[in-house]
Amino acid sequence: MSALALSGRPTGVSSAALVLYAGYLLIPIALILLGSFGNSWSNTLLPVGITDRWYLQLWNNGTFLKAFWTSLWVCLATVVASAVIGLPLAYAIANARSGALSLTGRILYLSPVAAPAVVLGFGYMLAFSSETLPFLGAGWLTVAAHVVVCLPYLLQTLIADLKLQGMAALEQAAESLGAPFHRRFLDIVLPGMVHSLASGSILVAALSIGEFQLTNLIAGFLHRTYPIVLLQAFYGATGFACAATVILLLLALLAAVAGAAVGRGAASGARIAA
Amino acid sequence: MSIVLDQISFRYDGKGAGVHDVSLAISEGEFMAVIGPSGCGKSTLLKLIAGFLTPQTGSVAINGQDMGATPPRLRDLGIVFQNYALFPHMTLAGNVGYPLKLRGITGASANDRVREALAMVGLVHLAERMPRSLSGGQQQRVALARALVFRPRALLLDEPLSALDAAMRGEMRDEIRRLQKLHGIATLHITHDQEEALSMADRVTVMREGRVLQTATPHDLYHHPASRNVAAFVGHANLFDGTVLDAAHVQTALGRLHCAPHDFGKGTAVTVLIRPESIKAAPDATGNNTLAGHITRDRFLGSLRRFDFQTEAGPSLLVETDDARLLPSHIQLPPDAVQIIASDQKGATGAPPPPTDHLSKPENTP
Repeated sequence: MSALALSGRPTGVSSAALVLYAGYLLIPIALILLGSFGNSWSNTLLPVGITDRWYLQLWNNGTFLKAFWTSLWVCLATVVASAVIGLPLAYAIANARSGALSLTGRILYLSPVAAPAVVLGFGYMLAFSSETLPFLGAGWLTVAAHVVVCLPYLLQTLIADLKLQGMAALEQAAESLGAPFHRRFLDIVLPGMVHSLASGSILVAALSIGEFQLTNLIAGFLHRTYPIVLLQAFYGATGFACAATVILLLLALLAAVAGAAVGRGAASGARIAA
Repeated sequence: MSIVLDQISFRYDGKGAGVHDVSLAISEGEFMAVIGPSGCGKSTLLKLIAGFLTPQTGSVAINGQDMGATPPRLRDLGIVFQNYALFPHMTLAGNVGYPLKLRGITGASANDRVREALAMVGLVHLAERMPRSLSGGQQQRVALARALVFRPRALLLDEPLSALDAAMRGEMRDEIRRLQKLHGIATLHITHDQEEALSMADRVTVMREGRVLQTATPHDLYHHPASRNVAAFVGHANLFDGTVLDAAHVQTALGRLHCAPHDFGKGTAVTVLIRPESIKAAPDATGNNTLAGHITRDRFLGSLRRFDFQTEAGPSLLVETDDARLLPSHIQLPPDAVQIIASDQKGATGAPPPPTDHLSKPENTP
């Protein structure tokens, strides 16, 4: 009896928590979806009438269309750059011979998570608005900033996987069989990392698509990403704002799929190239 | 095809015992086991031979060629690791073929050699399977095939059986020995299991605290241990402090005992070793080296029975017999079974052996 009571209570609590969590997550999304097709929505619980005019307006709005494509290429560039930088870096940190070196690496790569994005953004503004480095507003600077913000999450995923798989032992085996460093990296390490690189790249893509704080400070006017222009939509009609938000959601899904594909491609591509 | 270690020493930066002044020679076709409690330096020794570590002093030579700082990949040694270290994304054939691929052997000849190696361990029918779908014993066979397929100069086995269950361990002991003989390859087998070492090896090296205590055939190691630590680590042992009285007698806590011939001078502090299986039951106290007492703990071990015999003299003795009904009131220690060995209570390896596992630790060392 006591066992039943013990096992019963947490189950009840956890299912209540699950319902609450799902509610908080899904209800806003459902409302936004409804709102995007609602003709008018003021002073009622739910929107009234059905229309596709918000989406048509969005499609005909050059600013939003441009921001959509900017977000997509910034995101893809961020995923590719993160993979190219992240794989060797994760490998180096995971294989650091001294504990101090490994700790330094960890602190360094985790600091972008600890530092508020506003701090980073302000730093970028100071550094790149000067006459010697007049790069504020450049597209590649946005990509660089996204890489800095996203890389820690990718590194964390990759390093955990390297340790979990016992990659050091596998490499030692490969070395004893006659494999020099580049063969070990290409034949053993990279193929082993395909899955975690893919899942890490999904994370990077999602973070990059949704990044607002930092981008808002450094993107300037030429390369504004979708979340930045989305903010403007909130000052207009509710239906238009809802439709614009739905598009961001689609963009994020698209980016996640593309991220996974790029992650897998990067690992096998590097193998084939070598 | 030999491995010669000449006075090698290695000390780790931080903690870790390392090895001190170790010299060993493994000749062509010889199977040598290195045993010792954890932290005795046996794994370090393997890493030094493999080239994952470089000795600070001394030299490692393979086939008479000084390895110096030769990287592991150029040493041509087949290594089997404790956790097999099979590449999870490659099939069995891919795993076994990898060292051939690295040596530029491809196509039909590589294919033949991979098949031959897998057939040798009885797994050719699973060639296209992935390692994770295999049992531990099967994975270990693949690791062996992979370590032998490129015809290495020597074979290094790093506790290859420790992750297997008891039944599989027994089977793999025979399998490893069969393959080793088939290839006639110099082999170094690292293990903490003394039974494994004694049953498999041509010669066994006992290590402790980074030093070699003794290298001998399993028979000599068991019957003529060089020191108390070796006697305690290899098999079960009754060990007593003793003082030599004359060429045939020794004084111990059990009293004055008639002992096997020895070379120690009168008055020397020595260790007296009495193996449990050499102790006999006696009808009464009239014979030479007889002791009165009674059984305290009795253990049934199938074909064997191991009991504690509490002597009236004080100390308790571990006795092994195959007689299930034996209930002696007296035991006899045949003089030949009372061996005198060097007492290593003084010096670097003087401390009594640390507890390792119950199999290797004598149960009633006084």
